[in-house]
Amino acid sequence: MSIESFYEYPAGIALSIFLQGLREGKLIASRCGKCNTSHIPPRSYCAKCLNPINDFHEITGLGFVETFTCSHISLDGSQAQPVTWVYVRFEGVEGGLLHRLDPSVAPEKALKVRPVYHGERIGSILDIKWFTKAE
Amino acid sequence: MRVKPARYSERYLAQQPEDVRRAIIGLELDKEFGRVEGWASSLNRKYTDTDEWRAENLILTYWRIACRYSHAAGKAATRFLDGLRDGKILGTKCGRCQRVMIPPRLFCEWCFRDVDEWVEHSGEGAISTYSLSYIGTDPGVRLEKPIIVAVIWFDNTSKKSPSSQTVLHAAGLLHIVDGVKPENVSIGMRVRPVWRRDGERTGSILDIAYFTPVDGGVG
Amino acid sequence: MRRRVAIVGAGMTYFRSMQPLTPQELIFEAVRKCMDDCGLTLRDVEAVVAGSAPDAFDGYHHKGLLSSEAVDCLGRAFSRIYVGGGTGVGVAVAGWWHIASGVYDRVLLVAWEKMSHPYPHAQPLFRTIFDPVLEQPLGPNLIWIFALEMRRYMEMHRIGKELIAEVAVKNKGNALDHPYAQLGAKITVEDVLKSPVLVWPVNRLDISPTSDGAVALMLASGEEARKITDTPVWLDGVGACLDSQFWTNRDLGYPYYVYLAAQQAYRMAGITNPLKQIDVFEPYDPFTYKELHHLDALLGKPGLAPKLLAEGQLERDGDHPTSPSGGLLGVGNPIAAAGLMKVAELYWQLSGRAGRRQVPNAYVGVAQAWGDLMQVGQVVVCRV
Repeated sequence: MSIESFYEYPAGIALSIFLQGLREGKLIASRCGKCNTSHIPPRSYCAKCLNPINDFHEITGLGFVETFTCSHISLDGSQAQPVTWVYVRFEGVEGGLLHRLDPSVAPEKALKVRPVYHGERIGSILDIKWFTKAE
Repeated sequence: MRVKPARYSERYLAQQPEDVRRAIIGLELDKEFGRVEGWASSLNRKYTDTDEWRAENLILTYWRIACRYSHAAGKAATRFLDGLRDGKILGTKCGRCQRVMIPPRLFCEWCFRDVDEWVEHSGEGAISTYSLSYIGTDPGVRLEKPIIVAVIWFDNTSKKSPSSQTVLHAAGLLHIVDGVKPENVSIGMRVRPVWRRDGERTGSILDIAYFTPVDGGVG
Repeated sequence: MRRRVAIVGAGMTYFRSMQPLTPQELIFEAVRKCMDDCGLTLRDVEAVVAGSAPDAFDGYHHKGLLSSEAVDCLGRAFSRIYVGGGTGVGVAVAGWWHIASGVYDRVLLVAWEKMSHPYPHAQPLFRTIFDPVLEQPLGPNLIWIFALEMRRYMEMHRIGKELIAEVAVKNKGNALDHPYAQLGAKITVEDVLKSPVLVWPVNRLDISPTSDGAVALMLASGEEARKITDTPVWLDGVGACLDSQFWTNRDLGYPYYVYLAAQQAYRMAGITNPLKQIDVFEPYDPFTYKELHHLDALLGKPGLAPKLLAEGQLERDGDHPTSPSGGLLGVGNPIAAAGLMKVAELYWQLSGRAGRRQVPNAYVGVAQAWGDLMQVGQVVVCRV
């Protein structure tokens, strides 16, 4: 027996704006008009203030590595070339993004990084190729 | 608000790491699918009271899960399936309340005790309820001839709960009825199992090909 | 000693077949409306009880946690209730436990569903309810079990499809007055009978739609409730019951498990004659016949509901208004949210906030949901 299904996710308000941003090669964060807190990925509401959000802004893309890991297992569970995954945060913004690190860069905590985009973009987190060391 | 499907085109996948590309193609997420029209029309109706919410583009993304299972039938159902392979319908019987249980189980929850007595049943019984399925397992498929689906209650197994006059127990199975016209089926109609031939039975509920009227049916 | 529990606020989103909002956004909208209704903030919430269908419907592990962000759960107790289709009312039952026990004073209930996520539809996931060893090989679809139950019910009380179709006519008509309804419509018995037969005796218009939506409800202990509002609606009885998984061994004609759940709730609320003492009924109506089937059990009299329907007593202006909201058939069926919508309807009806749906002289109401292999009964009794 199997349980099998395709799924279709409309990204809703905030994530649609975020993904559209990636498509245009931009990182978009949200800001709550009441408490002024910014978030990435952006949110369409601030649960703390119970406030809907309609303030979205582009951030510089200059981030820093909060933490990292190196995976020796590929998506299907088989052994693979190690990939370094970084959790990137941005100054003054809550939250962060999980992505690959440029293999030519040695990971370290607090390393300054920036996103590298693919040429062909569709509005997906995969529009970012990886994060690389910011000069 | 416009709907924008985030489709994985060939060119898009070509720039992705090999494992990501393999995973997306393996899950068939690169196929043309999506109810883009449906989402577009959903945007034309009022769907929120939150006036602040605006997005010019509704991005659609795709995902799939595929889990395969192999189920161990367990002790009672395994013996039941072995019985079907031998052309027999087996049940268990509770020595205290005398209930015959088909599908069999190794406990009686009424008496809260183990049950280990096995009995063979002729398989004759009456239709407790039935329906006519005009759609297949995939409800998108319309069947030319409806399948007669029924719950069969086996003869002399019906019993009232000791605690209630409205709760009834009967040994019974979900199965298919055939050899009779749909319009001639009725609740209470007496039926018997039609077995697959010796050697063709594999130890499955499908070893009973179907149930059919005891009197040969009326058409 | 157990404490009295009140509903002090409610909010819901539009029920739609395809909601462009994410689950979190839907939950936020329902919760914000609920908080606005009772004048509280999330800081006042001590515990959250959430309800949603199985994870497979979203392809997302422990999707119950999707609500944690939208209700700012950090520092609060959170639990997710799952009792199949009974979940929506089950959430209210569990919320009652939280407060009646004396553990919490202010509990937020949220229930939501996005049935539009599975592509092209959720049927292959619903179908996994059948036993993998003895039933799946027969190639069932979900509607089989409803059709079998409906046929048995019709036989037991000698009622025809024409009468049962009246439930769809009534509920879709009632839903015309519900501002968030998906399928309010003026239809006829003929429309129902002429809609495509899927699994006889079930036609397409006998079935509620698949829907997306969210509902939130705020519960408070008696003392707190009086501080929050002048018009609390008391949750005075709860009942929950589960029958055997071996559904082919049971008589599907009468949902005895719903009867037992109702009796628990009635005992608690001091109801001895439901037909006389209850002013509004919101039985679970994912299929037309199920409203009657469940109402039979809520009244404790098999076969009474179809008689009342035939006499027009179940209309909003009848003696026993049933599904004045429009029910799942009219408002929509985002599984868990649909059940909680029924409890919210009692809150609106009994506090006189039901607008054009208002039933006159509504003081006591019962809401119920059913689930799984014809085996789950969840019941709440409310009064002002």
